[in-house]
Amino acid sequence: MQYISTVILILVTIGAYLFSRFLSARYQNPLMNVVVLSSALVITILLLFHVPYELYQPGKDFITMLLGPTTVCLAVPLYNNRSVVKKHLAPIIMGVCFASALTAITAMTIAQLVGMPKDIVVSLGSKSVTAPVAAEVAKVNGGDPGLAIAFVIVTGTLGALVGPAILTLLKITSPLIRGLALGTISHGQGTATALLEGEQQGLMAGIGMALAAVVTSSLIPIIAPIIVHS
Amino acid sequence: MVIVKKTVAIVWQLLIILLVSLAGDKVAAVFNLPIPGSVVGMLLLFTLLSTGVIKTVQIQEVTTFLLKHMAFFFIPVTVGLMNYWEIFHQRGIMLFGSLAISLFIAFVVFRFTTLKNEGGK
Repeated sequence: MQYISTVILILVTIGAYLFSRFLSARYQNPLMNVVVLSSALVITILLLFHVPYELYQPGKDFITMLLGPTTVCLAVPLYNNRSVVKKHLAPIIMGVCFASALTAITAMTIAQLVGMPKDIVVSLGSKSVTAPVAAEVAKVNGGDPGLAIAFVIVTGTLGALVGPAILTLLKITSPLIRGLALGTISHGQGTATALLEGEQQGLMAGIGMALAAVVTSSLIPIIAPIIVHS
Repeated sequence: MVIVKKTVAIVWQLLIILLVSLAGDKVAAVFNLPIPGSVVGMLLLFTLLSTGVIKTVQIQEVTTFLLKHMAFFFIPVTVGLMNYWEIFHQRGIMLFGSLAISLFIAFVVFRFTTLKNEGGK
């Protein structure tokens, strides 16, 4: 019986995903985020049919298990664009490191100062990295994977919405740096936005996203304890 | 026959990715690394590609598919947010403020990034 409900709920998740993809392709708008739409659909269905969350757990665990292998695949775009990385190695690394560190420190410090609990503070640290990595970084450091992903999505949507305007406001005109910034700060959603500006921007955004994942996951174990215990 | 060949190729590719992923988890666990196993796996795959042990064509279909549909794999975790209603209800504004301010600061950092031979400021 439980087996059947698991299969049905996985199928519901796939259905919600396909439908959301269709909607977001039709209405090109950062607010039409596939993850937000699909999750809202699944939540609505669970509530509507009074399905307890525990029943969704096995299906959730199965799908989430595949997040790791998916993250591993990020090595491929990074490898394909290694010549660009090599050419601008120092500025790229410096930019990604400083941006990743500062954004995590700022977010966590503000939360800590207003007295938020530890799991929220830690989960904020990984809000600029791609969701699968953010979930794991949060888990490893005592945060909450679900919350971490919520912060990732808000950051991604916000960056996609206002990122290009902020870059213009800051007089950042180089297409490569614009792309790098969008990918580093707003991961996949930023990369999609960068791709709208041009191929070069998209490529750099992909590099930024992959590097930010490595940098942030290495930094949070050092930064988080300092902020939480201060 | 073509379909069989194609299927075998896909399964083989998936197997490579799963093995690298498992190896990443294992390395992270054995050495007690604070970095997620998936990031270790990503670095491992990058190394394997760089050293030519694995060629991109050997994993192309599966990696393209997984990357394209990455969003799907974190829907269930996001659905889990339905259990956090209270947090957003109570602290939504502060959380949003923290996210917005830190986002802006990160963009400012890139004001100071310059690439050579690229004409950008």
